[in-house]
Amino acid sequence: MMTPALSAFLAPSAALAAGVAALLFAGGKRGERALALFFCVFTAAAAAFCAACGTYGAGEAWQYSALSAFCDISVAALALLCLPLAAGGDALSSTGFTLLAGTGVMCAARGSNPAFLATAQALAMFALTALFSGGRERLRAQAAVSWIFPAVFALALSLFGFSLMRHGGGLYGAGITLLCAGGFCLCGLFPFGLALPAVFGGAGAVRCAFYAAAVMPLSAIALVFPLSLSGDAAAVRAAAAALGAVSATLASLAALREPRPARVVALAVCASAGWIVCAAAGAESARAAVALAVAHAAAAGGLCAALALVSGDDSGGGSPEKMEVFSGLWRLSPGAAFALAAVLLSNAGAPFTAGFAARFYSLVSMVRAGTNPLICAALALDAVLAAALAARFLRPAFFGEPQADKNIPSGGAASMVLAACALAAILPGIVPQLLLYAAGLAARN
Amino acid sequence: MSLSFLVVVVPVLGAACQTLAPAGSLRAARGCAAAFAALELALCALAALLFDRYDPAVQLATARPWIDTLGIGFRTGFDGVSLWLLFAGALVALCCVLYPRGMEGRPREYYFWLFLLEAAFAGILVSRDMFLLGAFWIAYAVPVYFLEGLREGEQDGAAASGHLIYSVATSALMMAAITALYTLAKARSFSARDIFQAGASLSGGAQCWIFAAFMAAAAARAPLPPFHSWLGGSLRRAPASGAAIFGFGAITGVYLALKAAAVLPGGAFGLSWPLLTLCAASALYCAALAVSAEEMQTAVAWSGAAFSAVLLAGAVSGSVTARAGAVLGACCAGAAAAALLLLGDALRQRFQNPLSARGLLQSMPVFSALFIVCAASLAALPPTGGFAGVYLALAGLFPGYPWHAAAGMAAVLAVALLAALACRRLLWGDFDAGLQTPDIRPLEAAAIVPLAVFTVLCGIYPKLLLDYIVPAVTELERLLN
Repeated sequence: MMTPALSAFLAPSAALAAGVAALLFAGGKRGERALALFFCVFTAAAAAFCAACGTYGAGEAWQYSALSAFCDISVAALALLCLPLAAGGDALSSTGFTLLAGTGVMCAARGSNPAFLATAQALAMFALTALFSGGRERLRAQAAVSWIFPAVFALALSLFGFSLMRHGGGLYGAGITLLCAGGFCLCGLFPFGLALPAVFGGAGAVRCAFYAAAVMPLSAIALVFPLSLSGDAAAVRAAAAALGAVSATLASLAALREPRPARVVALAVCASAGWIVCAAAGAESARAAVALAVAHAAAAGGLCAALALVSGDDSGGGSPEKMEVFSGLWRLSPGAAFALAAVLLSNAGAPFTAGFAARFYSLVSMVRAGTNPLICAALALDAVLAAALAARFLRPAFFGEPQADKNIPSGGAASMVLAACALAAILPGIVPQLLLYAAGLAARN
Repeated sequence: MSLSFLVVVVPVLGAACQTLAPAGSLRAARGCAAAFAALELALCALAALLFDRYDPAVQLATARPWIDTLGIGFRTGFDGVSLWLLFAGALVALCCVLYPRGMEGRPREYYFWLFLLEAAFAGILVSRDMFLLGAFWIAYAVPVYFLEGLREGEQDGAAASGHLIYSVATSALMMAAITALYTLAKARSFSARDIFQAGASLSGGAQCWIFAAFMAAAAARAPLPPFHSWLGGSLRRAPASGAAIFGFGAITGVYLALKAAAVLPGGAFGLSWPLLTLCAASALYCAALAVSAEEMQTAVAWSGAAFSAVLLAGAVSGSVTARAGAVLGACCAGAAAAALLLLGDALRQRFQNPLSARGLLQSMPVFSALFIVCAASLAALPPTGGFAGVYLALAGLFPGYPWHAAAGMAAVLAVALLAALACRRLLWGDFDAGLQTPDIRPLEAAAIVPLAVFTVLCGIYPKLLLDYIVPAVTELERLLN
């Protein structure tokens, strides 16, 4: 079972991050923004209060259960209320979707019943389908179909897996495996995450950012729970780690061949999911996974913000077709180019960035846990591929000439998000102890 | 705050100051850069003054917790080896900043990355924590990438990307080696002392594998074939002053080899023969490439690589004399190669095809004098520091590995022959009286003369450096035994 401390750290953080991002990105009306802010603040406060009761153990067991159940239900209800508005306002739909997916998974993980987790996984998948099908006209159908299949798959696998677990005995391991498979679908791990590039290609940068920076890391961390349930079924953990390493390598290789920036970002998200799942399967799993998730969230959020910035669409409707869209970014906006370099280097695990500290910590944890050296080698190879991927963005951005009449707006929402993400990518790299301490606190058992 | 910490921080501050300089103002950017580069050199000189040369221990050290969870600290300090390598590096950096041609179109970016490169270089040399060393080692590749790509645009950016991936791949090997060393040897922390103690307890086979990973990173930086393909193109692509400073950075390969041999004595012993053979073959191969080069920059680059291979052989040979010679030679040859790259650029500004120039001794006497001195140092001719370094390296190598020493000597002779031919052709050829070529200008001379003086000073009075280097190398030898 996921510890209350983990949810104490993650649930309010996710809700607050979603709120801030929704406020920054939202191109909607003032009232819509205010409502989004209210939901986010309420969710953060509720989650923090609930988690604090559980974490610091002041109350009795019944108190924690009752409070947490009340808060969880309230949050879920509020989030569900947002969904019908998904067709129109970006801020509300995105906020509602993120709250539903993020807090749903976290609340389920906090509970003592694996069925909560399975149901939350499936719900989140359906929410994804609903949200991402609102992308561009041409790609709408493709995105919807791409998501519906894994959603159904995740639901079937997860519920079936839980029912197997209840029977115990030899079926227990099979149940855990299927529950994990549902999680893999949600966090976009190969081959379950094959739909993700199509979805990112069809959706706008803002929605991609919500998925990449909030939902995927939470879902991947939630895998710590079923993986820790596997107990002496070490084969499940080893298989998860192997799958994560293969997924990371394949996704990075595919990203090197992919011409469209949004799809490249999607594949980078898949690669990060691979790293987090590997960490979740190793020793000190929760701490390493949280550290990686924080680093990934900063990098992925920054990449999506950069996409929104260069496509000139803060509200997230556009998706550039070629990498050349970044050409001459250094000349047009040196600050944005520097911030882009920071998030890319963090994504590649360059030293003195959050990505480096988190990846190194995860690798050391995995080596200590006796993970197969081939898995570590595959992850090291992925770090090299990620450097090549960073060079794909940096080359046009720093050495290319800007396109005629191209203009990068300064001071917009996307610029602010990019700057915040760059800061979040660099600061924990310079003071990595902060990141690891917070992750350790979150994963305290 | 100790000096060893400050020498890393000052270049970072220099880079930060560049972001505040007015856009497009070359004078402001260069003035700011010169001030910080001079400050860095002054700090190195102060460290040399405060350093007790007879004490082999790490001095002027600092240790701050960084990642407590894994026993990683921001541990820095000087020993006799790192002190002079850093001094030479700071001198080269200052000269490169003073050199009047760099990146006139994008001065702020150019100096920004130049200072970050200097910070990474200083970090590698003063790190007393293996994790920190690895972090600075990888970080070094990032400013090199930008310096290479800035000059010509996206086409060269593609080639720079190739170099970046190459560097990251070999650096990843090194980080894997550090991780393996820490976990397999069950070291208490990543501090150099703990790793030194723990590394020797590993089995011979494990030491060999880990040492090989370290040497792959060192070979890529030095560069040694088969890790050498980036060199010629990179030095041609980058601005001359940028090429000079990251060409000088190649000496970190020698430094890493020295450290790795101390940490993993079993690995160094087990792999000594194949490694020395690779070094000898590389020296000959790079010398041949230098002789057949059609451009001055390329010839200098390959001559430097041949020199590096000889010094790398000295560093892993297990002899105190050879190791001291390798460090001395690295300081001097690096400075000489940097000066020659700047001289080549000065010549390129005056002649469309620099190798077609003849009789420069008459028209450009100052240039000619500097060219002779620097070429002599890179060709290991007396009375330069290059000669002293190579002589000691080969003298230390000879008793145990005579054939390898002979191959190294042959490579050095080939480079000397190349230098002699270049001097004859450029300086003493038929002078074209109609060609009024101006001699090098005062600012150019101000950038190149200190480097030439340094190499000659090290040749005439090598004791100045050796008094610091020998105790440190002897201490490494003691640990190795």
